[in-house]
This record gives sequence, structure tokens and C-alpha cells, in this order.
Amino acid sequence: NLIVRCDVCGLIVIWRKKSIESRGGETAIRIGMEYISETGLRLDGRRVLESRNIFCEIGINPKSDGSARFEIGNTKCIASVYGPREARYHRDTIHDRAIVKCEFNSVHFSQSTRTTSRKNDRRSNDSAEIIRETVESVLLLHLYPRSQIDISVEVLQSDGGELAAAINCVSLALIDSGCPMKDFICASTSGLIDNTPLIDINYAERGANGPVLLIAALPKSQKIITMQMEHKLELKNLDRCIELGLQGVSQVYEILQETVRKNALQKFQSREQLGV
Amino acid sequence: AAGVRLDGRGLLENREITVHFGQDYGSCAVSLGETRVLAQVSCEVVEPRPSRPNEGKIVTNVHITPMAGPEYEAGRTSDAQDELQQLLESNIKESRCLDLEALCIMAEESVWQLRADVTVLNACGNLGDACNMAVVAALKHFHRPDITVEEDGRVTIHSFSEREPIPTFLKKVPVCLTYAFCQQQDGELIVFSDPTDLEERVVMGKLVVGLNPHGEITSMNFPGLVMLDKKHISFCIMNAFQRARHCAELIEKLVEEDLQKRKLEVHPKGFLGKLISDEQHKRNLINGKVALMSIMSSQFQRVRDKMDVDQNNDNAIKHEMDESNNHDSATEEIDLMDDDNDKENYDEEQRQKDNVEELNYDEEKQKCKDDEDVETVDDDDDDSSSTCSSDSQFSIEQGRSASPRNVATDSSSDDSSDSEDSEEDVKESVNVGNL
Repeated sequence: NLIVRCDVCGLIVIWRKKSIESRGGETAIRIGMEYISETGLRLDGRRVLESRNIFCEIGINPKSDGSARFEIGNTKCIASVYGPREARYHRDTIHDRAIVKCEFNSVHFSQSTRTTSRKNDRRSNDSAEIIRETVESVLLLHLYPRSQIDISVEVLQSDGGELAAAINCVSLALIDSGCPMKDFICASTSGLIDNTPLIDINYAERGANGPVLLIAALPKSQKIITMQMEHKLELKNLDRCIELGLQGVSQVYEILQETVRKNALQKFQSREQLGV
Repeated sequence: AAGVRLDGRGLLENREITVHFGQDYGSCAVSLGETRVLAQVSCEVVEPRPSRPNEGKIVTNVHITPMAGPEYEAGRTSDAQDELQQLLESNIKESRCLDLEALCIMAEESVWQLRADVTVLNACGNLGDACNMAVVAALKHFHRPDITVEEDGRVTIHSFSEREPIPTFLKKVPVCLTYAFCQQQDGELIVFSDPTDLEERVVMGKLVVGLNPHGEITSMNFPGLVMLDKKHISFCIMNAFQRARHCAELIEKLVEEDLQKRKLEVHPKGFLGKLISDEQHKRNLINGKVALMSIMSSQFQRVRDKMDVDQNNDNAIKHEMDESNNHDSATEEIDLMDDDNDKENYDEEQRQKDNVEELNYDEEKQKCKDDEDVETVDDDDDDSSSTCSSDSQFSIEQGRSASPRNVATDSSSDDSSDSEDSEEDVKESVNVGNL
């Protein structure tokens, strides 16, 4: 085994002999980075079925109707919701329900190298579309005809699982804004490395080029709203990956629920103090 | 209600798939019921990506124009287009179904870049499946030209008649299947596959799965809008897996059939077979240039005779031309000249000064002198100064001669190549009508 310290991120990485191939008289020893150690620990010390540490906060942007901050491990993002309010362009409105407009943006300093300015790149647009469609199915839009709900998400730091974090963040912000919803929307990633299914893939583990599945679901009923997959996945592993995704969703749900409850309690207490 | 859809299909029944191939290798049109999609694969030699120096490249591109349906806008990339691009990229590029290392010519210097362009001809539901199938069939059908690499690194590409072209090797055939969901009042979820246009509009959600028969899921896209249980998804994917095998075999069989026919030199049928092939197009270009050269030499002779007669006129014009260098004043010059003779003399002047290639534009002026304003001719003049390659000149000429058909009779020998193409156009339009 080879133990190496990465210069860029400071992680201690173990390179393990994976296989020995002989082809045409030449022997090649294939080594690969060890994503899961023999004791079942991942690169950052988590277990296989553990999500990273989650921290969230509601009501950070006083101007917007609803806002929230969500951090999972080193991935941090904030979301703001404006609405339901009068639609900006009359031609966009629908006569019997509200429309949802969503914007997804990563700041230039979110990754280890500074990204050059690309306002409307396809990746951001795709992510925005996914968030919009997820949210549209959960909000009770028929209560606000001819109105518009604007959602804006910024990823401040990205370490894998940005879209999942964004969906969680948007869910909190919508709750803060008071938009009626059927349930929380919780999202989590799951993946497969070295034939071991994992919950919550971070950036380093994404580099293993294994399949990464993003699942957004309603936690109480375990109904899946959105599913997205990167790379290839074998059929036999599909069930397990979806199961783990739903498990990750439950883990996130506990924390989100806790935060919302605390926030609501604070609001009630501050109202009591005012004598209202 | 009883599990029968509008067009009489069962819930999990597909529409009929037909594939037509064109004259070129790698050109095919797939019809999924009424949905028609055309895919064309072409190749060129480029430098590889620095991070992957011994791998070829593959680029996929989707075009949806208002031809596909009135709901698509011209010029704007619609959501459907983005979705299809994403689908093709993940199914074909990222799934690594194509052996990219086989496309390498010289590591770090030159590799083949395959380019698959998909055009949606008629959008009648389930574009994802159709586009994916079209690209896969086109890739399987495509043969790339044989090459020799010299010691100094130069690459010679042999034409198809010189050496046998090499087929592309698809390791795993990616198949895409779409399932649509509809929720009834009692909460029951109806799942059906291969939605048509009308069904797509009323349906509440779609699940698009890309598989290959080896049991790998290459892409899975399920954007919100419907809430599913895990069992529904599992059911869809199991069903997809069964159908994938059948689909992949069908495509392979059809491609094999066409390649066999090609060996027996059977001409492909249908409008796709009438589309002009690559070789034919290149031959037309060369024929056209040869014809042009002969015209130029005859015109040159004619004008030279006239020049001997009108010596003074020439000198006056030459003087004025020397004074002003920009094209605006040249415009005025031409404006003043109504006389055909003077115009030809002016042309002669141009020829004497400029190089031979610009003669093509004088040809243009003579051909179009009956027709439009002189202003438009000057636009060509401007163009000629900026791009001096004979290729572009000829293509503009082709374009011009296509529209004012009455003027094309002016120069008779040019018509040999032009009329051929215009005949092709007419035949194409007739066949599309018949279709």
C-alpha cells in the first residue's frame, strides 16, 4: 500500500494495489485510490451509510419573503424566495395557477479554481429547470392564479452534491416564505464505488467516476419527485441505490424538520413578548 | 379506459419503427410512427484534447426547427432541444459506447472527430427515443475513410473508391425508452410507453431511461411533476430492460440489411436516397469550376476585342478608378454606366488589375445585369474582397443562380452543373410531397 498526502486538499490518500494484469508478456499492476478502507471508512472518515454534517438556518435575508442557508459538509448554498407576487410579464401568466421562476448560480469562487464568468451555461440552466419542476409539483400553485414565485439559489462553496443541497435549501426558503406546500422536499445523493453503495457523495468521491444518483422525495410518503443520474449504473444495483437515496432523504428530513420547528418556536415567542 | 390508447395501442406497446438509409455512409432517417428524425454522421481529423491525447472525439448536435411542429420557434433553443442534447450526450458520449481509442490516428497530434447531427423532421411525440435511435443507427452504418500516416506526420485520407472504408465499432448499443405517467382521480398511476404528441401534452410526467442490453443504465432522467413510488420506477426499468434487447437487435438487423444491399449496389429508395451524396457534391463543385474557367476564357476574348475599339473610354475609367480606392465610389462608377459595352470594359479593367480569382464576380455581374439593382451586385463585390477563396465564391454563385432562375439562361454552359442541382432540388421536393 502507498500512503500519500495530497498537495491540493491535504487529504491523506491510500493507493492500494487493485489488480495485476498480464498482457502479451508484460505485467501491469493497476492501482487505484482507496475510496473505502478495509475498516469501512471513507475518505473523510464517514461510514458508508452516513451523510455529512448538516447545518441550516432560516430567515437570513430580511428583504426577501423567504430565505434559507443550507450546508452539508463543505457544500454551502443560500436561497431566496420572492412571492407569490404579481407576475412580471403578463404573457407568462397562467389563468388558474401561479408560475415558478428559478435561477441557479454558482459563485466564481465556489470551487478550488476560479471559474470564468459564464452567466447562462447549460449546467446552471439544467439545474434551475430541475429545481423548478421539483418545486412545481409540491407547491399548491392553484391557490395563486396569475401570480409568480421567484426562487434564486446561489452555491457559495461546492464539494459535491450541490443540486441536492440547493433543493433542500429551496425547500426551507419556501417554508419560510409561507407558500403552501404538500410536504418538505428533501434531496440526497447516493452512489456506487467499488461495488459498495454509498450515501451522500462528495467531490472527491465523484472523481471515482462511479454512478451518482440524485433523488428528491417527499419524506413522509417516500414518494420520489425527481431523479437524476450521472455515469453508468448496472441494473442489479439500481434498487439498492434508490433505497439508499431515500435513506439519505430521511436523514436530511430530520434536520430540516428540527430547524423549522425551532424557527417557528422563536417566532411565536417573539410575538408573545410583543403581547400580540 | 380498458388499457387501449387513442391509436389502438396497448399501454406498453411501441409504435412501428422504420429506418431509411441514404446514399452516404452514416446517413439515416428513423420514423417512430409519425415522428421522423434524420441523423447524419460525418468525420474529420482534428487535434485531440490535451487531457486525453489518444482518444477520438464525438460531438452530437440536435436541431429542432419549426418544420418539426408549430410550437417550436425558429432560432431559439427550446427546452426540448436542450433536453435532447443532454440525452444524447449522456447516452452516447458519456456512456462510452463508442470505442474512442480506435479513432486515434497519432497520439497527441491527430484523431478522428465524429460528428452526429440530428434534425427533427416531424415531432409527433417521443423525440428522445427517435433521436437516440437515429444516432445509433447512423453510427453503426457509418464508415470512415482509410488513412495512411507518413513519417513526418502528414495524414493522407483516401477516398472511398481508392480504399475500403472502415466501419465504426459500437461496443454496446445504447437504447432510450420513454415512459409517461398519468394520475387518475383515485390515485392510481397509469404507466405507458412511447407517448405520441397528444399524449405528451396531457401526461403529467415522463421518465426517460437510457439502457444498453448488457444491463447498464446509461442515463436516467426523471424531472419532477409526478410523484412516484419506488415500485413504479423499478417496474418501468425492468420493462425497459426487456425492450432494450429487442430494440438493439432491430437496429443491428436493419443496418446489416442496408450494408448488404449497398454491396450489391442497390440504390437506396425514398427521399433520403435522392439527397446528394458527399462524393457527388464534391464532383459537382469541380465540374462547376471547370465550366466557369471555360466561360471566363471566352468572355475574356470577347472583351479584349471590344477593348481595342473603345480605347479612350478605358483610359478615362482607369483614371477614375485609380483615384478612389473604396468600394463606395466604385458603386457610383457602376451607377453611371448604363451602357453594356462600358460595363464590359469596366470589367476588363478590373480583370487586368486584380488576380484571376476575382473574375468569378464579374461573371456574376454579367449574369445578373438584367435583373436586380446594381446595388446588390456591389454587395458581392464587397464580399469578394474579403474572402478570396474560390470555394466561397462558387458557393455564393450557386446560391445566386438558384434564385433568379430566368437569369441563369444567360450563361449556358454553367447550367450543366446548376441545373443538375436544381433538378435534384425539384426531385427532392416532389418526393417529400409524395411522402
